[in-house]
Amino acid sequence: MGRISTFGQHLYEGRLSFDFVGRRKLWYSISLIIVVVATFGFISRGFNLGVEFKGGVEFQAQVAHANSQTVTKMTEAVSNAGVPGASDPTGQTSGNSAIRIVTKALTTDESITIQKALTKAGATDVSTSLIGPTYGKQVADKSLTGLIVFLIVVVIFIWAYFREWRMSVAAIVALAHDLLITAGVYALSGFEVTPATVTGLLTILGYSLYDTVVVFDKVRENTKGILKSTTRIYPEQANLALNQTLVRSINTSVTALLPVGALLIVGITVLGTGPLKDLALALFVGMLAGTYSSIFVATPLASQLKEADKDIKAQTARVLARRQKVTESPVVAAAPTPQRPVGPSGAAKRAQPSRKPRSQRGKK
Amino acid sequence: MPTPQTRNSNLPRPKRTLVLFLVGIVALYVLVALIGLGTKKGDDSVWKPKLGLDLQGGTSITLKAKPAHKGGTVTPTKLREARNIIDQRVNASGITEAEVTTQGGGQVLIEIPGKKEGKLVDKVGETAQLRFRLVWTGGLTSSPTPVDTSAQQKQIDAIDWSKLSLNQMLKAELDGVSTLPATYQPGIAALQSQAKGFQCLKTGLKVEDVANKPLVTCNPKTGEVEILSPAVIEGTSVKSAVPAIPPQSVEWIIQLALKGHAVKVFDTVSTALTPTQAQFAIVLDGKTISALSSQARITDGRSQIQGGFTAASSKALANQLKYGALPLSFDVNEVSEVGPSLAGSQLHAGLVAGLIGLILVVIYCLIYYRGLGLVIVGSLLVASALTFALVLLLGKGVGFTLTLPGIAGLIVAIGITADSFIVFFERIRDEVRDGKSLRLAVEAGWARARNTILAADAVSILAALTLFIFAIGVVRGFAFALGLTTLIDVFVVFLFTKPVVSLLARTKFFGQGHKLSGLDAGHLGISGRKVTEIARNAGGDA
Repeated sequence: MGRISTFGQHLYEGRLSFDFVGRRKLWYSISLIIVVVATFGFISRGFNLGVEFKGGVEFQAQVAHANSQTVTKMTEAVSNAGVPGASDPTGQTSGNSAIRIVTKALTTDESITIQKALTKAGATDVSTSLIGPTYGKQVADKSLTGLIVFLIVVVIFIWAYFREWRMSVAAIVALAHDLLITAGVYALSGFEVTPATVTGLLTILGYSLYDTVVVFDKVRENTKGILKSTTRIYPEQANLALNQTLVRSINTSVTALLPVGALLIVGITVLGTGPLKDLALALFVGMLAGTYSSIFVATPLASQLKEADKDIKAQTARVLARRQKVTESPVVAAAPTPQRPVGPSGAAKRAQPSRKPRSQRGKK
Repeated sequence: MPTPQTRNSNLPRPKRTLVLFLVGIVALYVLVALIGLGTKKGDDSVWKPKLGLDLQGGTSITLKAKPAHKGGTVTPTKLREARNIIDQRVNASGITEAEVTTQGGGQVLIEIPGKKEGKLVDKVGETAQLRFRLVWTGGLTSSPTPVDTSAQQKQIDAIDWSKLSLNQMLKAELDGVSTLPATYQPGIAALQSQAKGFQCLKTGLKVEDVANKPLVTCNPKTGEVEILSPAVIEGTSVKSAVPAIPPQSVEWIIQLALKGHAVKVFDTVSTALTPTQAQFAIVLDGKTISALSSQARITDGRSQIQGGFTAASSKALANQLKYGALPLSFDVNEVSEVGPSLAGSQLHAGLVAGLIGLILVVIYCLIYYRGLGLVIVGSLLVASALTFALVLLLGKGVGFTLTLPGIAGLIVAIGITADSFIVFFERIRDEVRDGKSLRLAVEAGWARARNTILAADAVSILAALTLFIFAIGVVRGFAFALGLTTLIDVFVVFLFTKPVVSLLARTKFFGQGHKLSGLDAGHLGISGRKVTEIARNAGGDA
């Protein structure tokens, strides 16, 4: 682990540096490709909407061993129950002791008939979920309202905290990036979209911004008083901030992903399908995208927007010109090498300030 | 450029802060224990979080209110009235442990722990069924034991009663049911034998009230069993229902006004019934609430209901009558019956996932931060203790129930909580790298990390708050848990982690950078000086 610390130290001092801001065109292109693929995914394939969005009935039958044999047995029991709406059920295992069967919308009487049929076929306990056809739409509509309100509130918050509209813009772009990618992964992989997935998506909003805020805070600290600086320029300072917070970003991602990963694995192995899996999956994908976007999208974009600012532009030009001069001067210095370094300040002839002995310091 | 240590004047005494905070947590638990003393002996439920139905099994029914026709609105007042009536209906069906609550988005949630009662939705989901029926045969007595009359019901159902005209029905009341055409006579016979075996229960009376069929029912207050005609006026024709005390009277009545076609029907009915003072019945949800004899011809659709009401009961009934007339109906959003074994495995899975997540985070922190990792472990434990206490208290106080998404929210929050510590520790390291001694770095790093943590947590709380306000159903449990833990995180990092680190920085093990403390020079990646020293070129333009 010592190596990571040294790595952190080197990142912090700028001895080791990844060029996140300078090579933004590369990162933008990568993100763009992923986003385009994702967008294409959910335009062409659409989402695999769960029963909550379509309406229907979901049965969870507890059995001793859930395997393809018992699934067939249970599914047949449902289709032979004599309920017209349940003539074409879909069944699958859910964990290792439950079978999930989904049918079209049924009345409560019909669902009781099915429950009895399942119990007769050997299920020890049947859980039922009757879902009205408008439930999913309500969730989606409400979530959309929530999304819009949240975005407005957050834009104002970030603007108020950083006093910088560009950071708000960059944060929102990064957010859209994360949401699009997560949505795309869902569309392309065909994972089922349920209200729990929507919850997960909305949580990503919070997380993605949370991560971005931490990085932006460091950027702000590093670029404080940048207009007066003669040596530092904005993009470099922003990049330094990214490198300095890189170890934190990695640590944060790991500690955030570990519990979510645990949730995902337990959700899949113990419960099979269900809200736990749906939530964890959306979070897992979104958090990965969120960490990526804070580093590769949000900060480079904030920096780019800031560089377009008139004052910053002028300051950057000044510093670069000055550096140009400094790099030209070594040609002069390359001539006879002095024994000890001689500065170009012309201070050599001046008397150096002398230091009093320690015992006399602080006394007049 | 060493920073003066006294810059943080608001946190000069870490020990005191720490003690006060820990005392606060203990006080919370004492509070829980005190609430526990107030409950019955042997009831330790106060120490168990209130579990949602997905974790303990039971039935939950979510209904979504909607205006029955265009132009109507769903107001909170209407929704509350609806809730009350649904609550009464649920109780009337014999289920006493049910909880009926209103939710955001015009929803009513019925929760019945431990039982599969999904069928309930058929009874409670419809608008209050208020109907006016003619009393074909009244004054019958209740049977002492219930008799199975499903065979008779089949006979009654087999006849199409909707062809009966109002005049035929009136004639049946005035001149006897034998005046009805022969095709209806088997049905009448069935009704009469059904009435013989009818047991009038005070609560849990089960009657299937269908508008265009005759009905055998009773008035639970008086116990009088009646055979009633198909409905002549529907509850949706009620224009208004107002409780009032008429002049020169001490008894509360309800003034009823009808609208539309019902006014004319009422005119016809009252005209026909007045000479003999024959009765008509007002039936609410299958029960006769009032049987009135018509005193006079009523042409304006205004009537009164008398029946020994008090101020409260007349108001409740007026609300029910009005509600029957209100354009509020319900869509069924979800009926979910969770069996005990699924509930058990969901609870189990949630707890296991939480435990695994916690252990993984702890292991990672210990490997990476070594000694400091223990501070994270301690902080997470304190945060867990605080969360548990608050979940218990909120369960008692505002009825917060822990659902599966709620547990997921708590688990996700582990990451967010741990991140606050990471931000803080990385800042300390940065300050040491900048050349500060460890003790100074703790204070200076804190001053900087504090703002970052606050800003980041604020975003997280905003997200949770928005989710909570705009979300439906289970999502709210998740948002609540997430918001709660983020808030707890702020408290823990300010009042526990920071003071602990400040204190530890004074110890030899941490302050002088022992190899296992996570603060040794090598681990921090600095070279050429000890962590207790201030670098010569400190404050350089890094």
